Amino acid sequence: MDESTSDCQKGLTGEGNHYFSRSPAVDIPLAYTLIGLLWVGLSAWLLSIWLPDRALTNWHHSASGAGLVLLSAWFIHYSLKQTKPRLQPLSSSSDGADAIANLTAQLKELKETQHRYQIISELTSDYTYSARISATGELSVEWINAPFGEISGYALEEIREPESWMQLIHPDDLACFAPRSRQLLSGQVSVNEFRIVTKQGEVRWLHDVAKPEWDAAAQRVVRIYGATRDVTDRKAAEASLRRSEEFRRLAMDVTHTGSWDWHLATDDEIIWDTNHFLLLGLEPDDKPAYSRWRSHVHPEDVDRVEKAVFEALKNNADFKAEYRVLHPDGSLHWLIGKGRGIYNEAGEPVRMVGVLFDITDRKQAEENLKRLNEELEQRVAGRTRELHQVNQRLEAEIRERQQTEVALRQSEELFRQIFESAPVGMALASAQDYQFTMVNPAFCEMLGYSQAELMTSSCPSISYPDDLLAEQSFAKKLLTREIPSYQFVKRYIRKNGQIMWGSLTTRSVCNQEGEILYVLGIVDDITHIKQVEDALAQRTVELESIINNMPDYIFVVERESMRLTLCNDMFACGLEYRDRAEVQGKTIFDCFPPEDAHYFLQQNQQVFESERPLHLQETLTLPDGEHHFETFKIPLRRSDGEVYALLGISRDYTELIETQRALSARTAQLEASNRELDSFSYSVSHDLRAPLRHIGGFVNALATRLEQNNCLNDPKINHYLQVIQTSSAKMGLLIDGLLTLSRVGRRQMAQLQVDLNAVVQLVLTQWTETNGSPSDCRNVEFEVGQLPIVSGDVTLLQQVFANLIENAVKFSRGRQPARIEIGLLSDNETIFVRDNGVGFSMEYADQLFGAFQRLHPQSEFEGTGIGLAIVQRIIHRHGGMIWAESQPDRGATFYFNLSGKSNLPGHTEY
Amino acid sequence: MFKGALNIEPTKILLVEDDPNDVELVQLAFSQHNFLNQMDVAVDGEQALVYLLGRDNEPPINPLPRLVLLDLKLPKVNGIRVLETLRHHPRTQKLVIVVMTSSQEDSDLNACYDLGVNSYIVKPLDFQQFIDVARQVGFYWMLFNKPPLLPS
Repeated sequence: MDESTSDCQKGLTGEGNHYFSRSPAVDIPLAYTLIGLLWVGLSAWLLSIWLPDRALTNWHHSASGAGLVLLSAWFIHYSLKQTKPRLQPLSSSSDGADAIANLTAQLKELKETQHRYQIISELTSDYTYSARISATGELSVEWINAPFGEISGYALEEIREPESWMQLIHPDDLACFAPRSRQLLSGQVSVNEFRIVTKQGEVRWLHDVAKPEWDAAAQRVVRIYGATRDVTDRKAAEASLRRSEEFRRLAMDVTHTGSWDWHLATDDEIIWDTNHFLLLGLEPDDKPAYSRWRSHVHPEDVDRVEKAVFEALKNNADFKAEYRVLHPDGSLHWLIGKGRGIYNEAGEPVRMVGVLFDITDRKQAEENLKRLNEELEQRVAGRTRELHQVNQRLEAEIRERQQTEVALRQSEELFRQIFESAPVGMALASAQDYQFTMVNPAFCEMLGYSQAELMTSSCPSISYPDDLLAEQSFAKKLLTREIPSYQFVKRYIRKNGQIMWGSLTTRSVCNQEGEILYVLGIVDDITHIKQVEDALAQRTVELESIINNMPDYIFVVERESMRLTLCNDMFACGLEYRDRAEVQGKTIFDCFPPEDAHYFLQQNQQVFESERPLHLQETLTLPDGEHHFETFKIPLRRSDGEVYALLGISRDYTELIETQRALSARTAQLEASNRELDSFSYSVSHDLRAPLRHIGGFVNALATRLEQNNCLNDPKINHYLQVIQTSSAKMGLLIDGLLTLSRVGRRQMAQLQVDLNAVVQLVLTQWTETNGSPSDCRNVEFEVGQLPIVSGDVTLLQQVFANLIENAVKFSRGRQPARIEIGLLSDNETIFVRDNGVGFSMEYADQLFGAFQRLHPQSEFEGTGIGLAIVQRIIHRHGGMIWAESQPDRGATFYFNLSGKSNLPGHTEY
Repeated sequence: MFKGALNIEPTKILLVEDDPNDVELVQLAFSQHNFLNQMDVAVDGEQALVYLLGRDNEPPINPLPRLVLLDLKLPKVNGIRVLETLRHHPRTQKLVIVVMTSSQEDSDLNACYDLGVNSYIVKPLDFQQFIDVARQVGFYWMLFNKPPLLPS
């Protein structure tokens, strides 16, 4: 009530001042002005009555109407008060003569005017009144117009007593009367709105304009004039408007709607309401600006929104845009802006007004909805897919089942066929007691039982007892499903009691519930394999034993890793390991010093790359000293021919080398001895021969001399000379024989192809030349067989045949004829020279070939006993053998060959 | 004829032999054929070389003999060395040298022939044979063989 009152006072006071300030400038005749104004006011007031439902229009017109009413009231008062002063100038300005004449007319006119104004005042105001103010300030109504009584129900008399009018005033509005009195008493016009309560109890709003009147001395306000208008309807309209505005505000608050009004050409000539600030996350202040709004719009949306604004303005269309704003606290909000351009007469946009909503919730809801939709779609799609898959699976399963059924039937048939015709033994045994329920022919055959016999027996009954325990652990696991199958090599007992080695593969057979009903066994007779394996194992042991006991170093080196995969103990010991187990698995780099390892690596690589055996002699320093090896490295190939390793065999011939050295030393010694012997022989040949020759020569010279001096008549002298000559000759023969023997031993031998036929022929020719006409007329028959061609020294071989033939002739002396046979035995290498002479006892055979050994007295057979020694030496120098067989008086046979083999058992070589 | 033949220049034989018995035997053999007065004897290799080549840049005193009978086993310088030296010396390069020795050694035989000996004769043990051989050698080399042209 207070607020509305003060609002009214403020607005009305302003308007009033406005009018007052303008009035002195009016220079047109006052009457016309008044009339014009009255007309305007009247028409406006009438209009407000006619169009009470149009609030906005009503408001404007009521305002202007109120102004006009006030103006009218003031004018009445002013004109009444100023009648005299205004008349004065008129009369003074008129001609003096006419002034008095016109006075009466003027009074009359004045009365008419008064009357006119009363009517007008009654028309323009609801009530008009005047009240007198006593010296004590009490206010008494002295006059009030008639309509007041009609409306209030009070007669003037009822309110004429001082302050009695106060009873009409609405108790809530009494408060405004004290300030009103102060205003009026200070000479100011007071405009108030207040309510009265009619006699009928009706509350009516009155708009009251009161004007004080000073006394003549202008000391005190003695009277007020008032014009009161019943503004009940306006108040109602105002209240309605206010309610509407509040409703709008409320609606905008509730809906978070902000509003704006923007003068397009400017930045800060813009109006935002509180909500507008809040929607931008700002505290309401008085600094709205377009740029400020723009700075809060999400950078991604700014251009789009501005574009929408300009498009709307250009096309004279409504603007609408959804965009994001960033609050100072960093939060993001979705807004929707709507606006409409306001255009000037030229059709150019000048302003734009609009509203702003927060649609974050909606957006979020939309987002959520969208997400939910998507999720839903996905789930639906997923579900559809699942269903589709399930469907396909089901279909596939059905198909599979159908196929399975067919396959099962086929498989059953197949199984039976396989079972019956399998080349391996197959048996189905009960899982409970291992009684056979099915056995195939192969199983029966391998065990020697009939099918009927096996069907009444169980698996353990045909198994070798020692193997049962081991198999039981597997069988148990099979039945408890720890394992689905097992393989086991075991022995079976055939019907005939023989052991059969079998490789057994089992598998449990279940029913549909997964219960194990049977055990299927597949048995392969591996007795033969087992035997081979055993033999192989035995052979391996033997071979290992051989390898291990070989005096050679034996080892196998793998190609890729240079690892010693196999070696013997000899090898390990050579490297000062305890046994081969310590070496096997090591690489050559582990076993040898780096230099040696590198050396072996090169060797090995050569073997691996060339894929050819390597044979070399090498000297290595082992922990116990220097060793000489003859090494073979032989590539080992896989069945596909790839060389994967090498076999190394190293023979330590260090001892041999030492022996050879010793032998060489011995040989050197022997050679030295031989040289000594040569020298000795030479000495003998020269030094012994010389004195012998001298003896012979000088005995001869003596004999000649004695003969010349006739001193040979003495037979004794002759005899002595003869003995000396004979002995010296014999000694010469002995020395020559000995020298020949020595020369044969030392002679440089030629190794040429020699045709023994030619050799024998030559020897016989020489013999015939020498002994062609023997004095004793001996008859000697030679029989020469086909002789071989041999490799040897032709001179020495001639000597052999010459000596043997000479011997044969000599010892067959006296035989008629002497038969000498020369030939070749059936072995094609043993040559013999046989005679039919005196022979010899085998008892003395060992003396035959000794130098100067004789088996016959000199008196019977001449000779030095050196001939056969020479023959033997020549044969030996050819690498051959010579031996003889004979019996006394049954002839003798000399055998020899050049190969060094005795092919005639029982005959000792001499 | 025999006598006249002996006058043929040079008619001399040089016997290189250390054993006086052998010298005597050779002389005995040659004496029967009048060779004796044409024979000089050197008792070792060194003497033989001095006789034939001279000593220390002194020319030899004797003219070259028609024939040298050379034993191999000699004191000081052995027969092989003597033969080698003579064959390498221009004066004696073509001198007729017959080795007469007891040695039947192959090595000696080969060495002598390699060094260009004119003949190699093993002294027979039998005296009669020895006489025969000596005579034959004398006749052959002194009478029948046409000697090479020797430098004066």
